[in-house]
Amino acid sequence: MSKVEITTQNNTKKITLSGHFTAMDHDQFRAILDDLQSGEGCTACAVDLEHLEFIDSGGLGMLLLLRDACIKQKLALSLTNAKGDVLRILDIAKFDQLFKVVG
Amino acid sequence: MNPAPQPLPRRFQKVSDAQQHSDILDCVAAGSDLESGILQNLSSDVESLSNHLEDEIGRMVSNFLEISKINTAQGHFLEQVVKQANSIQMEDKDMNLDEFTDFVTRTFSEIIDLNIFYSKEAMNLVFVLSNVMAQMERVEAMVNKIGVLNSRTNMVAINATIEAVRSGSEGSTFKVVSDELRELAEGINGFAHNLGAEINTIRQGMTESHTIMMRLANKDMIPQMILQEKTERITKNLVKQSQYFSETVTNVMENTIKCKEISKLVSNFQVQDRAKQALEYVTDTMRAFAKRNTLQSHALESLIDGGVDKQEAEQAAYQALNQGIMALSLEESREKRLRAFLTRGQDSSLKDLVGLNKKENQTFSGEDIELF
Repeated sequence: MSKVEITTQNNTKKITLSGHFTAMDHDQFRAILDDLQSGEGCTACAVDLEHLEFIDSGGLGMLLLLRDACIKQKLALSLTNAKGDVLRILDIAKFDQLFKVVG
Repeated sequence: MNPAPQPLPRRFQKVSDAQQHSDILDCVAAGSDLESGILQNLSSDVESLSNHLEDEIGRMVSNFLEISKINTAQGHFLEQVVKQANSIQMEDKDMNLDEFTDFVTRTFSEIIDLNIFYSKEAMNLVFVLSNVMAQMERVEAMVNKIGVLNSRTNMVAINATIEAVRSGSEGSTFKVVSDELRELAEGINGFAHNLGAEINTIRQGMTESHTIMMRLANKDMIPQMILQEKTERITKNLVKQSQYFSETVTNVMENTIKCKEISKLVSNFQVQDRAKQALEYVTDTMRAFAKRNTLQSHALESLIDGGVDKQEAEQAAYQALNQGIMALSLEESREKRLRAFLTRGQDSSLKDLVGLNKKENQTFSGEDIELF
């Protein structure tokens, strides 16, 4: 299970994922999506993956749903600090073509 | 007592003019004889070398012809190999390597895109089902609330009936209304019960769908995606290797064609015929000179006074030859071979006398040839 946190800093919603982010985390992530809809005044959303060790296809699916939600809310979305296996998986899934992936 | 002085060799003594002329002719005849012998030896050696060269070059040319034939066959074979290496058959259609690489990349890309699409839609469905289940719970709570309200309505109706009975005939109308109300409450209660049961069935179905959907969503497709990516990389590497292989074979094929051309060139050059012809001129010339010298020697001998010492003339010729060899300042083994050659078939005692045989155990054979 992953630890999913959301904070707001300077008009940016910051979502921090750590541990293993899988389909099992759908309840936590659904709450994040609900929270996002109430993010008035925010212009961007950054997902910090620095402490994320593993992501499965369900996790990738949820990031894509987050992308849809951000497009709907007109928020600029970025994935930051991905490394190791997570970065490789994002690369294989060609997420760099769908997201702004920041080192 | 001093020993008696040795007489000088006759060629160093003062002699008459006629004697001197005779001696000179004698020396020239001896020199001609010596040259004749050497020229005969030389022509014999050159002829032997010519025959040897003819055989060896003939063999070499025949080998080159064989190489040319093999190279022609190999060239055809390599052409086929290059053709095979550069194309892959896919569903009765030949694809070149670039087309194949594009095809593989496109196919794997589409598979990965599809995986990602399914992952997203699976999670979408999980979210939708979760929402619907939450709504179902709220509806269920509402139905329960209807049941509670209905119980209270029923209780009110019962109380109203009791009060109506107490009021006697004045309350009879009111009793009809309260009975109707109780009947209505019972009907609503039955309806709420049925609705609750239906909702429960739907909720069970939704829970089951959610469980199934979660099972699907939990099927991680990342390993397959990694495998697909690896397979794509392996395929690309194989294609690259095949391209290297094809290039190498093409180079080999070009070299084979060059070898074939060289082989043809060598075989058409007729080296052995040309070499033999050139050496024949040399041997024929040497033989002619040897013959001429012999004839000249015979002619001179017929002019020489019968009293002339022929051995002394030969000795002088050998001495001159020895001095000629010394003047060349050759390396020891080379000088040894030259001496052996020049004295071959000549009078040994005479050679010893003038020092031509000064080296010990002089022999000459093919094995003495220096190899470079």
